[in-house]
Amino acid sequence: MTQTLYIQNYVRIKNSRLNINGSLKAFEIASAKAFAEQIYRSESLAYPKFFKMDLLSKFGFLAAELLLKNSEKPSDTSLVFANKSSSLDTDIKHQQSIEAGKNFLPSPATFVYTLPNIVMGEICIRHQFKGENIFIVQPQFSPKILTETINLQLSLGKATNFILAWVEVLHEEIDIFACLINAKQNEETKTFTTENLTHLYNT
Amino acid sequence: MPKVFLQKYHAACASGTSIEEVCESLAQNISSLKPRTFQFEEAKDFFVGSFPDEKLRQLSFNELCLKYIRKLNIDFSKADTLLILSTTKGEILSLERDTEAASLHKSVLFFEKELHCANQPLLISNACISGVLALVQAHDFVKAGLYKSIVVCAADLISPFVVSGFNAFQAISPQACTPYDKNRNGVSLGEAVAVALVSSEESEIELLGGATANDANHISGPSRTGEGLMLAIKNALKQSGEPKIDFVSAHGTATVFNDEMESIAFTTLGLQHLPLHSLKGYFGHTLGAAGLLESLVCAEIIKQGVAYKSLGFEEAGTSMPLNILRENKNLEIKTVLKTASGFGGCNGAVVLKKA
Repeated sequence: MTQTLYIQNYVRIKNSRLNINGSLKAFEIASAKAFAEQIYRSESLAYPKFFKMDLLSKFGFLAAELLLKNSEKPSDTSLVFANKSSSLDTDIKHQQSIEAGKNFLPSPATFVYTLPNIVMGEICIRHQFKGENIFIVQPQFSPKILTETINLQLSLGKATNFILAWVEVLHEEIDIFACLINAKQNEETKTFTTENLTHLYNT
Repeated sequence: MPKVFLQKYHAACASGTSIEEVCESLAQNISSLKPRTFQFEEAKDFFVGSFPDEKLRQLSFNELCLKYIRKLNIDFSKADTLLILSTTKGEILSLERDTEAASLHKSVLFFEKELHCANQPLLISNACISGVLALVQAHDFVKAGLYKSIVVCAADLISPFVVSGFNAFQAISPQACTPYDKNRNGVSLGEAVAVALVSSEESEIELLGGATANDANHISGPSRTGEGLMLAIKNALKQSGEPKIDFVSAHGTATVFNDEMESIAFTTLGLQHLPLHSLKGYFGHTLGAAGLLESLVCAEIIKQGVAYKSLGFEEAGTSMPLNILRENKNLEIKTVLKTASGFGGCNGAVVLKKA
């Protein structure tokens, strides 16, 4: 019999709104980059590597910071991440830097972000997570297979603490949803089900 | 829980357009890495492993995968059947003219429609461990009884996008790559497609299990201590019921730091005496396809009892000596460990066994 998992807390970043466990904060923003930097400052974070990250990593990193603020961080935490556009937002920048006849100047600092799992690497470095990683690409947020993956990792003894995240960034459009999942239960936790995930994603 | 098996499979890479052709070429120790000209700021030649067949080279990523998936003859309209795709860059060659077409989710929609899938295909894009991870995910799903049949399709094509990027990192070898050799000086890129059916129906090759782990150290360089790879192997062996390993099919990209990191990880785990090879010297680093393609070669090695030498290796060049195969060797191999490591600090390992 598999243990029941619970959603401990969640972070939602969409349009210019930040939602942490139902508490909303609206920002006035000029660009996605400025939005990310405003969240960074409003949370008084001090992690200079943040400024080198691409937008996907910036927003994924911020979601993890907010999610884990008051939480334990076991080193075998498993990251199950997904999005629609993979690293396309940065792929476009690398492509522009290699087009013949123009200014050919590909940069390793850009190229490394042309993989969607780099955001998980950044979060692992920050929190010293050495557990499972999987990055999945879906046409839209489809929690069924993400839930199956997490329940499976639990039942096979691969992990007991999980971050499930949808991290979509493209053309200045930001759609982030992250939640922390483990077996702890209290009045505020919700059961880890696809219905509850869908409900929180749609808030 | 049921046992999980590797059923039929197919593959194409620079060494051949079928798994038989590939293994025949490996048995003859032929390097299929050849210079190809890329037009960047000026024309420059890079050693790459391109498909040997002109018709294959003209296919897009989606077309290539479809062609090889169809060889398996699977009915994806069944509710208990799933397609898992593994790639780093998918349709990236389209990016020059059509941004939307290059988006990976478009490939998911393409296969869902073309193959009339009851379940939306699961696309895994996790750098160079994608292929190993896709195979492990298929194993875990079948073992848990969530799906009965899973087709794993792993592919990546050579593109100016990726070649220019690795070149910007100064990570490309000026000659055909030489994994673990003292004079190794970077990767040679390759292209490949590999497809395999995974199910609980008994066959010659059993999949015992696998795991992944993150270095939590650096996004573009391997850990100096090899901790992530060690953890991935340890956990994969635990998932597999701690079997005795007979052979290691390592990642061996031929960058100075990767091969060094592997030598430390294998030695720390006491696996340094095991016969080991990297296949990158034959057909290059095939990125998201590598883990699956090289696992399929492992399956053939188990069946045939011949392990191919590690092409390009002459003089030991890692701080911890490994038992790298200098010649093809007849070995009775029951259990193989396949490993991979990639950008983002990710590491993966999977164990295959003679059933």
